Amino acid sequence: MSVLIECRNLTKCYQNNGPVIDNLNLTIESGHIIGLLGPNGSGKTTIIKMINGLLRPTRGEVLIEGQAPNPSTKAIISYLPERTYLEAQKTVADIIDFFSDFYSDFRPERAKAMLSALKIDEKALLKTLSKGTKEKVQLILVMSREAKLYILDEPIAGVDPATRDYIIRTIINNYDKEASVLICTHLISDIEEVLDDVIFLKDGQVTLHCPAAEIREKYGVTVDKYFREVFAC
Amino acid sequence: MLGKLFKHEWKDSFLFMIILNGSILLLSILGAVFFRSMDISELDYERPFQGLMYGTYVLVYVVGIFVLFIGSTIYFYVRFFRNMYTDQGYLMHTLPVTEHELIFSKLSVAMIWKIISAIVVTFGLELIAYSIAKDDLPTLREISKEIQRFGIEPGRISLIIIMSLLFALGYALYTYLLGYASVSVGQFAVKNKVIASVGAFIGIRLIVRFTRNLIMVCIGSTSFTRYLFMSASRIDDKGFLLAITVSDILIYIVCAILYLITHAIMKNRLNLE
Repeated sequence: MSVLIECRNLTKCYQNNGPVIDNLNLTIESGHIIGLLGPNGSGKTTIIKMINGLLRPTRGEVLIEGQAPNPSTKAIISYLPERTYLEAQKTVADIIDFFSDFYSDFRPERAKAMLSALKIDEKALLKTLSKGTKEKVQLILVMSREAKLYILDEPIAGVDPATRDYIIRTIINNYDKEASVLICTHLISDIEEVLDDVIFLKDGQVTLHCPAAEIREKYGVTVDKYFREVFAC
Repeated sequence: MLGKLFKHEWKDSFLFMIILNGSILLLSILGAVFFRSMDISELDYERPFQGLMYGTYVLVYVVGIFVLFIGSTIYFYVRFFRNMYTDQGYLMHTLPVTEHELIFSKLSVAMIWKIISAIVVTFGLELIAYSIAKDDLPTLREISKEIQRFGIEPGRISLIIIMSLLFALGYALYTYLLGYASVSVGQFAVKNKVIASVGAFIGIRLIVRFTRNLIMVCIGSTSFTRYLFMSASRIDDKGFLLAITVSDILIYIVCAILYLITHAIMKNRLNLE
């Protein structure tokens, strides 16, 4: 298994505030589903944004297959942000066309099959869809790529439990076993079964990085329960 | 990837821009029909309705041109801001494209629409002028003779026209790049990024104006248009040519600086919080 992401002494400070990410070192290998877990404000989204080149580190570096974020690293990452990033005036079909043009690993037929399974009309304007449906559309687009790394920021936060199951199945069924999936979520119990590894983040630092099975064996509790114990207020 | 970015930018802006340009074209055709059916020289107080129609049309037409140019400029500023620095930036900045490609695709589409608008307005005004003059428009030869009456050497006419067109093109480029750079500088603000962008716009514009005026004074002029109005009977074509050449060089240097500012912020200081 090769190293996919490497964070070296990564630090991020927002406008005259203290560090959100503080001298963080982290390595993520290919072929894993990893849960990036931590309480609010622990820096999960900040790390994800730096990996995607949406935020510039204050100090240190992020390397994707040995390179700082650039067009070629963006071509191998499929990113689902925690917000709606699609133009509301466009139709779902327009967005599929857009993704087909820019990502050579995008499979439109796979996207159309998933849209059909979720009964989402391709001709519908995004502005006419509910928030949950927009989130589903975004997830479908992201998971219809054959990327090396999928980064999913809160993929199941805004949807009902039935759709959550569908989304989790979609993630498991659609990613290449050589690829990695980095999932950032608060809903640990929903995704626990699929996680290979977990990363606990607190105050911008990694406090734990180990296989999910190790937590269950060592502490005799689920990842969700262990998380609650570690981050109890 | 540049071609694909261009394609989508063109597609997304097409409807709005075609409505704006189409409206002016339609207004020009209506005007041409309207003026063809009346004689402006006969407008007087005894025909108040015709006078009112004439006045209203001119007002609507002038406002229409204003909306076309200012409205389209603001439209492309807003598109740039939304696509690059709001939630949509999460998509645009994770595409496998360079920052140069992002800026260039937006700039080239905006410029093409500006040129189309200029052609539409020129054609529209020609159409109206033609209908007012009742086909009695001067020929190119007559226009050339008229210009020579002001003392401009025939060999310089085409050079002056080329330099003026270059300036017009440079100014349109400057208008967009000023907006892009201001929006990018505005992202440094912790809050109220739009207000900060407007502040940056005013600030950069003032600096550019001051610098330009300073350089123009140094070469012995304040503005190239001064040479057009120095004397009613004679134009200082040599002075005009020098002033417009300096203005051309300056505007393209400013454009290059604004482009580099936009690119540097996007590449090195992007912070989509």
